[in-house]
Amino acid sequence: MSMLSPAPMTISSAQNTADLTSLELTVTGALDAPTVLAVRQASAQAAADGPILILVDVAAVTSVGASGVVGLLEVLHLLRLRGGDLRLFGHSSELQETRLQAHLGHVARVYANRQDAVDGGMARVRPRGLAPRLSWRTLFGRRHRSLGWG
Amino acid sequence: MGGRKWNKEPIGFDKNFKPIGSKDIPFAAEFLPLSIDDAAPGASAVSSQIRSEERVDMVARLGLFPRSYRRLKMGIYRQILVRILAVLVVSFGLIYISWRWSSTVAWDAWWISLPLVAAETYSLGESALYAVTMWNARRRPPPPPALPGRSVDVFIATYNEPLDLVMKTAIAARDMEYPHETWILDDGDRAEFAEAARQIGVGYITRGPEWDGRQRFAKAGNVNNALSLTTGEFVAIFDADQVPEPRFLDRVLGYFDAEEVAFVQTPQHFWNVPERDPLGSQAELFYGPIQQGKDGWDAAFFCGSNAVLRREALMALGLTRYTRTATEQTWRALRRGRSRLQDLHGELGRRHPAAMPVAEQALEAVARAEHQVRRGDVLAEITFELRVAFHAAALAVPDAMDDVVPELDAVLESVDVAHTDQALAIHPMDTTTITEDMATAMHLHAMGWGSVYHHEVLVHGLAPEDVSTMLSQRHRWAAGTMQVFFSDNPVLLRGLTVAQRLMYLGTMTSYLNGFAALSYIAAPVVFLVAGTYPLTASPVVFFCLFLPFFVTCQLLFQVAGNGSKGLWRGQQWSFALFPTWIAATCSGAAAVFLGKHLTFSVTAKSKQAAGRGFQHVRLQVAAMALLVVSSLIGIARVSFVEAPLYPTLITLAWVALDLALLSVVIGAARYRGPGDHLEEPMPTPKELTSVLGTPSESKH
Repeated sequence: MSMLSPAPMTISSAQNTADLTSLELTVTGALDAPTVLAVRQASAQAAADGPILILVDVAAVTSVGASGVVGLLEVLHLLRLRGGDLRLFGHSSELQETRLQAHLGHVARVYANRQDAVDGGMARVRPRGLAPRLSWRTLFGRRHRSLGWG
Repeated sequence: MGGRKWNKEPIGFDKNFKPIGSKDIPFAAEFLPLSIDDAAPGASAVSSQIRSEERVDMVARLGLFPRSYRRLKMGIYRQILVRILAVLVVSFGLIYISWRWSSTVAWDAWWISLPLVAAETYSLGESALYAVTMWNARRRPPPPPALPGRSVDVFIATYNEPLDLVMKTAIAARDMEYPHETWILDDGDRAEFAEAARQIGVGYITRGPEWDGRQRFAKAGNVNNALSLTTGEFVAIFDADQVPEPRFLDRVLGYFDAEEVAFVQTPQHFWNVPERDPLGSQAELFYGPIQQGKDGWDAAFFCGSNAVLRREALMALGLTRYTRTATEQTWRALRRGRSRLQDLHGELGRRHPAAMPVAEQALEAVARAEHQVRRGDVLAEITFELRVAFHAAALAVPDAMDDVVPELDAVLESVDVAHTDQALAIHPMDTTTITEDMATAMHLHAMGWGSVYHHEVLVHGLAPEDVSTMLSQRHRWAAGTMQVFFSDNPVLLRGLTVAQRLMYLGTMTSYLNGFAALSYIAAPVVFLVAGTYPLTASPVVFFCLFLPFFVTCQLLFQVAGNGSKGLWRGQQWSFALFPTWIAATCSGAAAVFLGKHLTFSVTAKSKQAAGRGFQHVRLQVAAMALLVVSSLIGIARVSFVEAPLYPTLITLAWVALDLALLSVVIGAARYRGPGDHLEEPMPTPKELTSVLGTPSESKH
């Protein structure tokens, strides 16, 4: 059953990061579907009273699946609908090394520490390399798995 | 929910592993590979892995079951014959079509001659694609046992189907032996379904308020919504009328031991179809030789139901599409937003000049965001900053809020990288077409994921029971497929192998047959009525070149069909549905090029009162009448020596073939449903009666 309630983001609910109430969550172990569902439930609950900044510590993440990344983006979607935001922080070699990061990299950032995450967007970096566009040369090219085998 | 837990009924390797016994023998010929060396060129690692298992299995079979070995040998002979016929079809076809183009086009009657030769060229192309499909048909060995400990969510998608129908499927799904959780995905948001689901102990998912006022994407949206709320490693999907056998999961989960396998498709079999199958519902050729042929090229199709998918594959697909298009979408949304804000600025100049600075600041913020996108900054940060900037701008002139806020909100929603203008940020199942199943499978293949077609009937469903519903269903399939053909053509899709491109192309282009059929009907009519030759050739030469092609085509069709029922019926419908195919092609093109909306019409699961009758096939009946009248005119013209005898006879034979093909609509229009003599293969559970509160109907 859907657990979301309508709370469309409006200008009047938008705030600076510094003005937002924040909640810190820590993900340990696998970043997969069950984990992010729990993050989503906690975020939905926290966002019920108004815009909130959810900070997720991913330093202790040991493995990452596409379901996990998709789930995090859904949490971002959920929070932004309510005028809040989601920020990831902490050094996770698993998250850095997975190929998923190549896709995630230009959509969202994993900040080095909590403070950077709260400040969000102060020190930008260029995204990682993305998959090349279609060209006639690639039409008959050998296929390769592009995602999910991190 | 509803699934048995491990501690209650553990299923281990020993319990589930059944040595091949006499029960398996009837399937042996289907599962056995046609040849030990029947390697699919370009096949992925999964193919080689499974082939090694085939060899082990083969040895066991050779020792234990000489009878199945003999059937295997027959398979090899059949495959050799198929390949010889495939070569002959293409060779004879090329000779014939070269002759047709070079020597027989009647240029003085080009308006009928060119469409006819084009139709014949198209038919040759289709025959060649069929030959390529059958070249590599793959009969898999019995599946490996399902490993214990997998987590599986079973989805039953429903929209407007009756409660008893859905509950029967739900109970059967719940009772599947492998531990799992069953969910009813009710797009109709019906309270009685939620209550019934609770009673039988299965989960119930409906769209939340976040979907209100937003695009719902029909079945694809329903499944995506459920995917976002569940966590199983694997997802089995059933339509509301598709009742699975208890062993379904045990039979298919084993394939997922190969980590590249994204989905396993099993056949759709309809129990409410009589032997003569007037509506051509039992697609034995498709759910048999054709799917096996596609499987041989690692391109088995996902057909939307009776399949199990790997969640990780779906999510990877959704994520890839999302991130690949995120920058482009943000860029486009920013440009549109700038345009809207410029309009707003002009309007405020007339209506509320004091509020103009808000629009000016918002425009500056958009320009800044565009610069950041060009620089490659992180999109989440860009869109968040934009939101903050809009907020600050709006607060600066408080009395202008009512004038500017709705417009600023709309711009923000469309720009936000989290897709806040939609109910979900990411759509794992393709939402760009009404045939989400085929599009999803194609993109999974393009990403390098593998697929399996498991040729064993494990699910029993309901077919349309009247011609109108059948036509509506075929139109939806065809329109959705052509939508993908025009918008996402497999020839241009990066990542597919050449063979996979051909497999998808073969299915998509088959719907262009409507235009070819029109030529095949018009050409004899024109000759018989007006005496206009659509080709200029000696009848003897024509027969010498055409007959070998035609005969080998038919032989290939029969041999590769491997005993499938309804081959002739399939050819009849392929021809007789020409108005449907043409309409669907036009709808698909209009959807892509003109932005027209394609409606996902749910196939009715019960007989429709107004679904029977000749009015539904009036175009085919008109074509038949035209052919008959033309034949009479042609005979009269021969009698009065106004037309040559032999060309007229040939044309009359052609008309007879057209009429034979079109005549299928007569039986379909008169069809009154299956009657009561058909027995449901899956017994109606007693529990259903208590859930419904009244005696359940056994058939719909």
